[in-house]
Amino acid sequence: MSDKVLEIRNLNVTFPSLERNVHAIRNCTLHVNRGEILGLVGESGSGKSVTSMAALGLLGSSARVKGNIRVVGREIIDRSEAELQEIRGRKVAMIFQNPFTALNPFFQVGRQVLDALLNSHFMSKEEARKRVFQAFKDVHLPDPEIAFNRYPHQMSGGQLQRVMIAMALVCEPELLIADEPTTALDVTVQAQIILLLRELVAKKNLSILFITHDLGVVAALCDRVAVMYAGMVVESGPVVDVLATPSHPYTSALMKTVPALGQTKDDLSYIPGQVPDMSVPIIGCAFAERCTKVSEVCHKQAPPRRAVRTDQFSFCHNASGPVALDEIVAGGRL
Amino acid sequence: MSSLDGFQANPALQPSWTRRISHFASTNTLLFVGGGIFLLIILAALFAPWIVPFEPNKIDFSHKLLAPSLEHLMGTDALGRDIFSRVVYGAQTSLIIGITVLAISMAIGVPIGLAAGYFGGKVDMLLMRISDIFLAFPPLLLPIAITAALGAGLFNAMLALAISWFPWYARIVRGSVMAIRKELYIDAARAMGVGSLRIMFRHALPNSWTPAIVQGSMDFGYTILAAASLSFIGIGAKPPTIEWGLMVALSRSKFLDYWWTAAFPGLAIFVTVLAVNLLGDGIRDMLDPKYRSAR
Repeated sequence: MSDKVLEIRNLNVTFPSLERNVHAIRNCTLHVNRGEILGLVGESGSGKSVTSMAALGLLGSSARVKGNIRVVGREIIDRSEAELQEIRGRKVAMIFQNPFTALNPFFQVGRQVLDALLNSHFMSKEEARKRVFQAFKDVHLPDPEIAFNRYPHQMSGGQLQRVMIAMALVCEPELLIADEPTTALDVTVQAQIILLLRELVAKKNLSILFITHDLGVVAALCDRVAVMYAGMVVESGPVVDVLATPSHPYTSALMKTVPALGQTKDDLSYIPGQVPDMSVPIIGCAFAERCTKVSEVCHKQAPPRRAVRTDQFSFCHNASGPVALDEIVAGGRL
Repeated sequence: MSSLDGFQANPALQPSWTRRISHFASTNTLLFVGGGIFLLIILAALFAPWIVPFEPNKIDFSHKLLAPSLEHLMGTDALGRDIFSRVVYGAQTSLIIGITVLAISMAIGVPIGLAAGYFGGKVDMLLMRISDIFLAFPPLLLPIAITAALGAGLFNAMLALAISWFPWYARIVRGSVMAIRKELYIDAARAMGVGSLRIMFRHALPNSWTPAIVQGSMDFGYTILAAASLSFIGIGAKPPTIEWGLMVALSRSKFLDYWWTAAFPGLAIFVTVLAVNLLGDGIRDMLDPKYRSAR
């Protein structure tokens, strides 16, 4: 078995409609190695959430999906709902941005976690209960017995996100997809959740695809980072390398937008322009319209994928380094 | 970090039973009043043989059309039957009608609404157009036609009412399921590998049946009235059966001179419908998690 728990190759997602087809994901390629946390960053509308939904086969029938997605060696695209249910929960679990709405308000949280566990594993109720309590302890929910009988509206956001993480982990998946799990939480709780995820990765040999637009969180949590723009990964590599020496102008621009303490409101920087219209075909580089280092070739030719250094790849005409061929990518490491 | 978000709950400080009941009554007044009256009606129906002073169908012409007195609390009808005894027995019939009609129409309507709302698209189209056929008839015409086709009788009348009623439940449930379908916890459940059928009944149904239950409680009274109407035109309950609507209908040539022959069965219908409606409102307040108070 490969050491990649998630492998997305040349993923294309289109949402067809009568007037225009929205090409939300264009040739997206990324992977998550076993035991690592990959941060997937990008601004709103860059296709982060669509990618994560596609990885679980959760896009509705309105989406046209092409390419390859393999979760723990199993193909996801074009599989039946029954086959997908084998993978969901058991091999891969997901936590969401807003823990307040991700739990059914009608049932006690413990019962919901219990349900999730019994749905994917055959075991006695007592055994399952024990495991739920253990999971609650693992995510540092104090008094698991009391937490078990709480309704979602009786808990705080941080507690609910812990419950969600417990629910995801109680089924012992190999991959956790976290779609902006800390965005709806305040900063101190966010720090607790990040510490918790780090701890769980170390303890349970878990891998995480962590979707966020917060580069600060990426720096604190992730091993590698993939930067998405207009439906494709424009740069990827180890967090230290990418954040210290970004090779794609979009990554650099994104980093400049992170506000620092002591900055005044006049210093707040942003990336001028907006994400290109995904319903018209993009010729050349998608970022060309907003790029500061734009040259003529950027408007004509799609940039090749260049290996900037070991493990760091960039889709930019200006990046230095040899062009990485797809075959090499397929055989070795990204 | 774990001590920061601990629960401030102490099992030793749980309130006592009496406190819980009085708290429940004060926070759910409607439910308490409506439920109380409804409970009395149910008890009356259950223990009718021990409550009534007279045999409800015993004809006694020497005591016909007597005004209410201590002996005959609600007077007697044209055949000398004790109206109080008949009203108590009538509770049985009315409750059975209400429960049966609602049970059948919900059993048909709720799954249809769930499937239509959850799957949407073609499934929704097909199921809703079928329901629309039943909604296209005037409210009482369809039951009359169906009863006429099946043959007169109380059970056929109930079946006919249920068949002409289910589209309301299908529509109500469909509407709330469509809203809930977009909730994150449905996606979350799917992401955990939960099957469609299970999501429908476990997640969509409990969050969408409140309007159906409230509608049901309102319909409960209307069902009794509709069944009485069918009895009135001679295709519902037949005379040995004791039914409030039928009692009102049978007294229609008398009640101008002998008010009690129609007033007490009518009052029984009124009180029952009122109690059930209060109960319905109370149930809605209680079932909606946003209204639910911390225990």
